[in-house]
Amino acid sequence: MTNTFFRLAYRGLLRNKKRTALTALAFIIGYVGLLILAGYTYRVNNVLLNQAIYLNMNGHIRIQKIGAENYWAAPLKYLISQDHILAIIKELQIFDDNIEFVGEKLKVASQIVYDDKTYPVFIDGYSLNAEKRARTHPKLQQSLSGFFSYVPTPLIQTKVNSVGASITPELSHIMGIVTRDPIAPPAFDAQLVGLDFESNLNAIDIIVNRRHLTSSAFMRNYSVEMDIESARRLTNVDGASEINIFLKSEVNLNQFLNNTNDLLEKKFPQQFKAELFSTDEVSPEYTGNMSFLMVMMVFFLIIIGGSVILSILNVLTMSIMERKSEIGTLLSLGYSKFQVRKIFIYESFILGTFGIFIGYIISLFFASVINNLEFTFTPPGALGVAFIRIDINILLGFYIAIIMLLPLLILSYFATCKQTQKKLVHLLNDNEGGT
Amino acid sequence: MAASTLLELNDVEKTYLLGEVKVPALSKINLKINTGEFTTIIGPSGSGKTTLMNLIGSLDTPDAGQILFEGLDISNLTNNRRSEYLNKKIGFVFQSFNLIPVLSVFENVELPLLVIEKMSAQERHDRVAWCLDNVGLFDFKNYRPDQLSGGQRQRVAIARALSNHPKLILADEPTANLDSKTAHQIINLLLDLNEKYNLTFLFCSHDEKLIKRVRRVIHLSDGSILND
Amino acid sequence: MKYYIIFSYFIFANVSLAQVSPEVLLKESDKSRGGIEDGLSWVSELKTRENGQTTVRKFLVKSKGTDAIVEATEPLRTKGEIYVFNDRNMWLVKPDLKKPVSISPKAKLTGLASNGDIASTWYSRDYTAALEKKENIKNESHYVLLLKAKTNTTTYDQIRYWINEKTQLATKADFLSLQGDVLKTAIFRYENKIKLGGKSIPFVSEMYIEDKSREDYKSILKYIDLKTSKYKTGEFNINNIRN
Repeated sequence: MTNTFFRLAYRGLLRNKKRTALTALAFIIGYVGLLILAGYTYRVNNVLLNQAIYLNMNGHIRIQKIGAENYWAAPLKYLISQDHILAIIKELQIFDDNIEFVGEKLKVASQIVYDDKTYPVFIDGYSLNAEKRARTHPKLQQSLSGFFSYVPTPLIQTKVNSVGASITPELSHIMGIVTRDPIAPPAFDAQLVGLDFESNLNAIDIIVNRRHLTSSAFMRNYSVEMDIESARRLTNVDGASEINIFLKSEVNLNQFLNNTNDLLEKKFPQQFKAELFSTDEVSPEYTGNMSFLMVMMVFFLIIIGGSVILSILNVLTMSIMERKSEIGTLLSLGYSKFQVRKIFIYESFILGTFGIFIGYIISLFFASVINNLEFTFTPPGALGVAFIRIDINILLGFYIAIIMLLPLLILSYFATCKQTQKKLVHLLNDNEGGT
Repeated sequence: MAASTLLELNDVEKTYLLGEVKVPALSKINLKINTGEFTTIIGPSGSGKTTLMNLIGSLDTPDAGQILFEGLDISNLTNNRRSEYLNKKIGFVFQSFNLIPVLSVFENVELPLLVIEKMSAQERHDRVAWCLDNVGLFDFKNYRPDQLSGGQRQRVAIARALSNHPKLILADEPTANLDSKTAHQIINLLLDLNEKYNLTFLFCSHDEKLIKRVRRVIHLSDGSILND
Repeated sequence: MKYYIIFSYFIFANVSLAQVSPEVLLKESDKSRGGIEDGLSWVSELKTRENGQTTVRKFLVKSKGTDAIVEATEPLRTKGEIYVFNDRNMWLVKPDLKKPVSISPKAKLTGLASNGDIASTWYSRDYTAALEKKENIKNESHYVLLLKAKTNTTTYDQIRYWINEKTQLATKADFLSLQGDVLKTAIFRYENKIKLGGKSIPFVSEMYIEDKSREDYKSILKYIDLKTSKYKTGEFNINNIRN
């Protein structure tokens, strides 16, 4: 019987080829529009995600002392001591299969002194191994490459076998240092001065030999990046503000987070807390940008998807009205109302799947064209100039297909309900002459 | 063998509301149809023939009275029971043929059989072939309705009505849209089927010239039976 | 007659208040906090209590006029740190720094003491003074001055300063933000003595500082081993110190 329904549905569509073609076109246009938009959002999400995890050195999971989340640069009592760092890393070994590498970060508010002038800065001190692995991580490089004109590099070695510090171009500009190469200008000497964690004034020498961009985290335009050992020397501590865990691709993040928190509670009760990178506390620029993007995406989804679905429904309703007597005939032959409704749902299904198939191919083509045209723009706080890039894959195509097809099928069902609820005699009398 | 009562109508009434005016279409109809009978309902336009056919076919429900089919009250069936009744007990032949234009002759005749779950594809094929044979259209099985004449379409409709071996075939003015020669051919076909297979037919028309061979004629006028 | 006496008293009081120069008051009080041209040295001991923990730092202070060298002596790890004051400029010199670091007098040195508190005090150089009122503290009449920073390189933006009318010593200070909120309060004691122009004058012995927003945060700066000293020319020059 299913074959017959499909046959009826398929041939029903062919009854008015022009109308069917236009309806299919509407669906295709809607699908292509949404898929392109989704492809862009997907790419941007990929970029932002990898920025948050690797570029900003948050890792997938951040471990801090409970209470430290209320501070950007937490005071001494919220620092994780070296002993605790070692103990936590040792406990995390049970998750070795899931962990790619682990880093430590020390965050300090300080001042940079250059040419006898002082400028307030936020210092991020990173453990060097983790910093290098994160900044050269293939995921980060791949996601940024072709999307931004800026490609990040790790902290740069100095001649004296240490790494230099890095400042932002904005800070560089304010300090009056203008260079041709925005990312790796000639090195210059400066000093960092600030209070250590016991509120004593301290200072260290640094060599600044790199610039870095902080994406849309505007507050961090006054940031200095350096190795954690130098930050520890400045602040006279051996601990860290946070431990950052970088996971392998296939790990279920929420599950790992729960496991980590369970472990921390078991081994270090009421002391530490693990959080995902995708929270406001860890990465507000990621959550902020993604929230904005998702709102826009949902908005366009509703507008475009809604318009397309409603126009198809309109055509379907016309088709149902034209075939009232056919509906009556089928009912008079013993077909149930649900079976008759199925025919029209199959029509929508055939139209939809055809539209999806063609639309996917067209989307691939358009995405390729857009990517090759290399449109650029400079979003606020972005890592240099950005290219508009669309990333389309089967999974994305499938999700958009479901989003468009499912409401269409459901609404098609309800569109037929009204006609099939009518009395048979009224349906048949559409064509019947008198009594 | 004594014929049994297939259909019984007891004090059946139907009233239509046209605006605020109540129009009685049928008043206190009492009627019995036996198995194997070929009954014709004759009456002018507006006499209530189609209303009566619709009530017997469960396409509409009476306002009063009872309609018993094989002893079962079909006046107010549930949706599922109605579908089962229409599929297994009743065959319809409509004035406008009501063929599905996108299906072939074969597929149109096969339609009622697809609801029957236990019928195999081969069984369906054989049944359809039998039906088309009986109406003389087996060679046209792959034609679409728009490729057939009016008479041929009506034959297809008759074949379809036969396909599920119904107890009662209802034909509401089956010849109204046909020329007189074709109309006679159709009536003769129905009569032949009735004689050959002892099928029960209830057929209505406003054309008295078509009923010469018919044994039982019920005259309907203004919603009442004048004579039977 | 009674009303005449009362009326005359108010007129006399206002006239006498009007006759007091806040700048002069301030300059006089500075002397007992190191604001003199003669060479001095002392040991500053700063005890800070925060969150139930006490830390102690000691500095050897050499001062002459508006120049000063403050050398950290305790704890051991701070040995070698030197703070140099040349008028309003301040540097930090450390053995492991390639060159001195310019620092702000506003910045905290340690505990609740700002950089500018450790060395000698020259409020008359750094602040304009206005007389607000007179007030009694422990039955002694005090002039209350409102000091406002002359430049943005001073240690504080505003200070409310209580100067004892009789002794002309500053006994209390409220250190204010730009908006006038009290950030911290200091109480001064003067149990030291120095010879100035042939006369023996009291010198500050203790500065007790409290953080207004945190009850558990206090610092006590003691001035110990006070001596007059002679210094060579260029002894306070930053270039000489760094070499």
